[in-house]
Amino acid sequence: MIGHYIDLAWRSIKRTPFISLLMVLAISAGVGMTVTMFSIYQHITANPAEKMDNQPFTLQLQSNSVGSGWGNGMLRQITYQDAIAVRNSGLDATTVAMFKSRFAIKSDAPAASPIFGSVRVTDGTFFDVFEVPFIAGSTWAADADRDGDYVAVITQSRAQLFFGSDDPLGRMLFLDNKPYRVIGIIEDYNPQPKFYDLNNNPFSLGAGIYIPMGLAPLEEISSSGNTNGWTPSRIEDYQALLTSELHWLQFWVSFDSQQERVEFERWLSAYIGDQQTAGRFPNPEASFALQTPAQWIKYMDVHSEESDILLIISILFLLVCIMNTIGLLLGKFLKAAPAVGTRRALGASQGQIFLQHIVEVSLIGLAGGLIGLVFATGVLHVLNGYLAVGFAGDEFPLTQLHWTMWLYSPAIALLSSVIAGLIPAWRICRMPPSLYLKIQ
Amino acid sequence: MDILPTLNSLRRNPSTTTLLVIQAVLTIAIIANLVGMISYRMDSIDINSGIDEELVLDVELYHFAEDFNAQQVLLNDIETLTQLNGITAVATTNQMPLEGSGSSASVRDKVTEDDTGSQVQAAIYRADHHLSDVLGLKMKYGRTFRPEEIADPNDMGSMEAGAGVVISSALAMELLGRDDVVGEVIYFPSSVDIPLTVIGVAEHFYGPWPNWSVSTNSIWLGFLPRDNRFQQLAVRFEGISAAEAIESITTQLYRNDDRRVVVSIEQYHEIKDRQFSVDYSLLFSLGLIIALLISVISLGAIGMAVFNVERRTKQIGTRRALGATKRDIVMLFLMESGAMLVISMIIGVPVALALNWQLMSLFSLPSLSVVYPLSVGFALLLLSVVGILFPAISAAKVPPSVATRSL
Repeated sequence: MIGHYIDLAWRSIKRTPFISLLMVLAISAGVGMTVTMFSIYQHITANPAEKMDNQPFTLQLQSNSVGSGWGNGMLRQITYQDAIAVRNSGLDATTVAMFKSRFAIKSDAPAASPIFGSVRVTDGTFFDVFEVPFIAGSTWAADADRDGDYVAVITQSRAQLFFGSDDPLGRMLFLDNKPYRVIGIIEDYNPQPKFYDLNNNPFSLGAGIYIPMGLAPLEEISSSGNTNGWTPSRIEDYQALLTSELHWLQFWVSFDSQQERVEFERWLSAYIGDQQTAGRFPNPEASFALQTPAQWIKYMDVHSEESDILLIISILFLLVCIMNTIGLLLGKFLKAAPAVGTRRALGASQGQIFLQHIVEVSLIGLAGGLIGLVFATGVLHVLNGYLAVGFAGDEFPLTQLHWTMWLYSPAIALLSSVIAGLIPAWRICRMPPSLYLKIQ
Repeated sequence: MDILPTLNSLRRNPSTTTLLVIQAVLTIAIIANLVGMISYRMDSIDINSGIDEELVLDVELYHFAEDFNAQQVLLNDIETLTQLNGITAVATTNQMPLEGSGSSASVRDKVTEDDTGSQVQAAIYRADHHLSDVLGLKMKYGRTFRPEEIADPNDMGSMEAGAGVVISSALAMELLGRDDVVGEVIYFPSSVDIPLTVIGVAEHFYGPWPNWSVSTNSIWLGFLPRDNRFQQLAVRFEGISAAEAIESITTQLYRNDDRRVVVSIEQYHEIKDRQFSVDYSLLFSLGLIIALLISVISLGAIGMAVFNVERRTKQIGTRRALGATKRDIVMLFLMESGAMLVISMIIGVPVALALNWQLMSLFSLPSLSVVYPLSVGFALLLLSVVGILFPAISAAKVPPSVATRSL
């Protein structure tokens, strides 16, 4: 029976090619625009740490004065001295202190010329805490976090860039002319947004090279990210930066059990008290905050209004497209009313007529959904072109049409067209056949 | 022609009328809001940098030599680059206008015990005396720096009391209430309060942040480069292509010192475009939605008009048989469509404003002037009258005999 309806629908579509095309295009424009904006919205509001079961937590420590700080009265990063104190506390919780920097980087190949790239200076626990899989080798030993070691973990694509198809393990990378031994290769790690460090551009790519935190004081590595202050501080040299009240490190912690968390929080409270006694932490109510990636993304307010506005507008636009299609369908169906009258007179029930028309609009909707996908791909391509200008060089992660859109798009199109077809199909199946038979 | 038959006819086709009116109302509401957003965005990106954007290059350098001496290397760069064919001026600077990152500090008009007087935020340029040649800064009053006035920041750590500064006219206005201020003293930075003498007032002198509320407040301190691995050069070229300039500058820079990376070298307009990339993508999306919306509803309206005319062939024939002229028939359709649009406007204008309120409560948008929905409504009215004209003219050609034949 459905086959017969599809056949009838196809004949009816062919009978009014212009109007049918118009309906398909209207649906595809509406759906295409909505799907595009939904993709961007999804990209921007995604929680890349969703699968990590609300771990790890970022630590905010209120070493700043009353009145400075963000929503919860705290700054968005922590000081070097606090980061090191918490990390060296000997607690069971796994901690990561880190910041980003930039170096002139070249390989050990003769005649290699340096490129300028970002490097993350971090504790070796980074890869474990953020669940970054190793392809070869491993992270550095824990004492490198404290004492430094000239080793590096690099991503697959950086390995490819510097060493081609050669085995990179054991090879040397030169950062500002200093040799670092490559000890681990990880898969490219570019969570969007880059929740572990949302400063500067939250939608930029992650670093391709990771080196131990212990090198920071040895090499006097400066941060290329944000450095926030709340009190005037004179920074004469690197040592002064390390002991200053400036906030410039990101700090994450993960717990294996509730017990670990309880102990960690108890230790922090005691630490805050100690610091207050020692004359730091001017806020008498000084406290700390632990936030999950989802909470952190929200707190840092990374998502732009533009994407919300565009999503709302594109849904309104889809609504107009549906209205438009209803109007066209009504006209088209009513024009074919005499034929329906004949079919009704020959025994077709109201339900059958209704179903047949719904099949027809579904075909139109499906076609619109598919063309809408093509349309969305094109629009995203153009938008990516505009947005890529805002990023330096190759550091732009493209907004892709999420795979779910291949399901959503036809589904939205089908739903829209069926909604559009309901009234016209209802009107036409309720027509008394006698009215049209009489005229003929 | 009487309005009553028109309204009657609209009332007799309630579903068609309602659909068209809802479409037109939504269209007015959406387009008016989109046009409002577009004009708002256009205002914020329409910045006259005062720079020859095609002829100025921004060069970012990173040095990794252990014994890097910024002044030695950079002054040599300036000298050798200036000798290159087509390079007319080279300056060291810590930032470029509108590039998105840089430094700022607060400035005061006077130092008093009780902290009165005005304190104003301004972008701080640390650049040598070539900066005005490269950027093409126009001095409204006074002059720019002389070579001997350029100080060495490594020697002093800060400015010397009484040193000259060039400030933007906007800063002069905000700090001192007028911009004819050559010879006046200002204090900077506010924590140290070193008195500085204004030697020049520049027009169109932007700081590095386009969205900053005081983006035109700038101070230029005459400084040689500080010892810092990151250095920035601004270069002006003429008579050669940008590609040629970039090529010869890059080669020369590496020849001067290969223990560095030319991080980026690009035309000034690229820097500016980068700052506005999100705005451009938004403008593109809004423009695309407007274009699609107009195409969809006007094609749709024509389609419905064609059906409408076909369905009413007999009615038209009857009217013609009863004495209506062709002109009357065309007028009938025009009046119907016009009446529909007037109804849509009456509903659409408040709906547009309501949508704007809704959007304003969610996002930081300006309120919509009633002019926008009204003009969109009139444009739509015009469009629909033109759209209905052709189906209406063909309808008017229905001979009266058609009506009598099948009845």
